[in-house]
Amino acid sequence: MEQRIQRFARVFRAIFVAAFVLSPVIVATLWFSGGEVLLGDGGSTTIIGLVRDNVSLDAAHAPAFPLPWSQRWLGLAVSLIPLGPTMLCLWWLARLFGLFTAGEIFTGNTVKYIRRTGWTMLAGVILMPIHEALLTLVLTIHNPPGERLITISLESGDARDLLVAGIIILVSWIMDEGRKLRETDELTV
Amino acid sequence: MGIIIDLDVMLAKKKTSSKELAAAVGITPQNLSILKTGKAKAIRFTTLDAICRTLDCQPGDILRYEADEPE
Repeated sequence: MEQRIQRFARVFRAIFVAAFVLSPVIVATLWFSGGEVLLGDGGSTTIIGLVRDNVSLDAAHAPAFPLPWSQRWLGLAVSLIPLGPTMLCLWWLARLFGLFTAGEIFTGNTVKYIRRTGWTMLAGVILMPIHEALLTLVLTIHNPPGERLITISLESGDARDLLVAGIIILVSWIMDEGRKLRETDELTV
Repeated sequence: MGIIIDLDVMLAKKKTSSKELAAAVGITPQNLSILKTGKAKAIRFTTLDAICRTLDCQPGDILRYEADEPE
């Protein structure tokens, strides 16, 4: 069983490391390309399209692409709000699965990284409305007066993420109980 | 914890080495060391039984309670 865990953990660790490296590259590429990315099928998608879950911006208020450089830099700065917790989560997960790969399962370190993942994810969910408000402001900042927006909304995705974060924190507590049992078992003669 | 393991005293009284006891009881020297140094969190009845049989003693000769000093 432990070998199977190590095998799967190795794969997941590689995925998390790749996602950790790629996520800032993708976000930066999107903003530096002017907020619009050409797709292979000849179409294109915009920053609004990619973050549709978080940005409630109708067509009337949508900015013209490509965005001016000041707006791109501001957008990138605002994108760091959700990107930070996401990258931190990916980093904790990469460390966690690195431990699993090394055969460490019920240890204080694994519990620490699971708990950190849960709390970081929770912080990310809490920061999401701030991100959305600032992003709508950045995207409409060059609109004529009266058409600039700041929107705050709670989406079903936020509730789902909140639930997942709560479950991860709960799992960390359960893992901690497992760690205590393992330690007791190890120190039973 | 106020449980003191007096295994060293019994080993000296019975002129038995830790290595011999570990072999007779069927546990590893490392586990016996955990027991001797008081790091053990629990001791199985089977282990206690084997130690008492090997050293021809009572559990009370090995285990003793000492109240923790108030801080």
